[in-house]
Amino acid sequence: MSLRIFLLSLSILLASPGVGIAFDGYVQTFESNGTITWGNGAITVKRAIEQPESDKGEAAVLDPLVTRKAVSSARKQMLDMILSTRIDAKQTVHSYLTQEPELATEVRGVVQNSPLERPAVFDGAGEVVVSEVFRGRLADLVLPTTIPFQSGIPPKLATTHEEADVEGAELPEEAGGGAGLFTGLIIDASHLQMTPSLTPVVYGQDGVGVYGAFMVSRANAVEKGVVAYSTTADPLALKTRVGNNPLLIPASSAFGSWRTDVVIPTPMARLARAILQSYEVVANCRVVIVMPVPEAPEAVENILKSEDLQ
Amino acid sequence: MNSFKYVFFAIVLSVVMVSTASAGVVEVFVPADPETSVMALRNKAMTEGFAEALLQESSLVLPGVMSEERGALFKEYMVTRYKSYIQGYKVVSMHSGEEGVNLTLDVRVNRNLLRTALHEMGMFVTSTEPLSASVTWPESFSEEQVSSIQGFMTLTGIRNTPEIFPSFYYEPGPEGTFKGRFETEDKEWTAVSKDISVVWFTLWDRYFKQLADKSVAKDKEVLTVNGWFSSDAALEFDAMLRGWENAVQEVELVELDMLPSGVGGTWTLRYIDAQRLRMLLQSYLPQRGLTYQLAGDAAKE
Repeated sequence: MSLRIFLLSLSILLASPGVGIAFDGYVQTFESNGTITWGNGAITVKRAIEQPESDKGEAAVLDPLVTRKAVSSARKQMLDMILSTRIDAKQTVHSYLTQEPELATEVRGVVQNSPLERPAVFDGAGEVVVSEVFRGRLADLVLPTTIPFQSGIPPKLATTHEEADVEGAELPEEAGGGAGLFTGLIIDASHLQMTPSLTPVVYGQDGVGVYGAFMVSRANAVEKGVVAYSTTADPLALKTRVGNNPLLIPASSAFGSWRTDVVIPTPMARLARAILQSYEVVANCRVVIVMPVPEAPEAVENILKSEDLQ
Repeated sequence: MNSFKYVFFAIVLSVVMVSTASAGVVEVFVPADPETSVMALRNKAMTEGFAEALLQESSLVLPGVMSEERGALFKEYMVTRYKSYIQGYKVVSMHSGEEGVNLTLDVRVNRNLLRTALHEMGMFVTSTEPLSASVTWPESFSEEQVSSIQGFMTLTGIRNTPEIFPSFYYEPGPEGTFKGRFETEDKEWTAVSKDISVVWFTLWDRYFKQLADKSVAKDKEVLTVNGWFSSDAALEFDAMLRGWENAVQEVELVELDMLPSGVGGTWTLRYIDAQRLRMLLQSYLPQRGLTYQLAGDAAKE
């Protein structure tokens, strides 16, 4: 009997959506074959192998040099994607690394050593997939040592967005249900145009930073990412990042010349600051920014291809 | 499929991070002493904390387990010598009360330097089994001096066995100094100092260094890796390999082959944990399209 109950409980647990499932998050697409998945930091580039047919019109055995060319080209694209990523409102990885040639060499080394999937020699054709992750070693290299991580000193905006009667000033809505402690923050910026970055800042409308690198240790930023970006505000889907009972905060506006930072209403900022007193929340970087769902580039590409065929 | 891939990355990453970590949190308590100021107690707690961190780190590096007595002697030895092995520290908490000072320190240890020191102290040779050697001293030595020598023997891991090599003789030196004479089958060294411990450690350091030099040539393993498309990638792996401090030491890149078919590298290294190294190589190289061979093994892909 107890075994049946156990198996039933197990099957219910496994069938429950979002239970213990890591989310991929917001996917930024580059040239239709490269992606950065901002939930887990995964960077992937796929490239088809262009294998010339043999004289008899049959697909030849894969030439290692053709594979090598495809891998090199995919890794070059991946390096370009990494370099074009914004660290914060002021700089990209590229602008930082131009001042740090030794680090730039190490980043190239990491990319050249990136995990690789390729078709077998006798497959004749296929695609190569190279991947890396904006965590660990790569994050450690591209996050400037000049960023004052965990300084405890919030950055301040030159201009404030303080308004007497702002939208969303009423008491916050609990996203996860229950009246327990909030376990993280979900900032809904799905109605805003934003650029994802490695160290975004969440400001209150009083112009004072609520969350960002100034609260997080460098080690945690490197291993977990200061924030995760998602396209859904569903607490169940984000459970692995923000815990069981996150606070859902509607963003007021995006800020910065590249719109990397986000501003939240003052009452929410006050509550968020209280939640961020929790060691668990800050140490696990339990903050997710919800982005608009991007248009599917594949669909656009398919249309173009179809037109080309006509 | 993607999820599995990233879970796998995370596992590899965590293995790598564990292998390079050399920081540790230590807690020490120094009891209050009416004749010692709080500041002096705090300073004492700090030095004891550093020594404790070095003991903790040594226990991770050494193949054998140090006895409690030997560990205490090691800490005593390090209390005056810790500085060069500490890369940084953070005071997690410090509480001074009537009973004494409670200190929690997060200490980052320079593992390479510490490992060299442990080699020179003979710890790698004697951590699993004591070394039999003959140690003699003059009858004129005081009880305190004899007790110090016995402490040195315990710390170094010497089992005093009469009339065998190596032999260590303490002799009275000129003008209140101590003289030490060290004999092996084919060599003899001497040292003189006013400090009885300096004589001991100078001569044993020299002996263990010589022993290590002899063993280097025969213990070094050769690792070859092929399949890179650029030398940057090989150098990145070189840095990665050197970071696997729980698996290998004395890593040296001896050859980088730039061939039309790709870039290959050859390293010499010494095992700390051969099985761990094989696991790390297997989890890192094949998924990057690289093949490797450890001398004596068949090539792996």
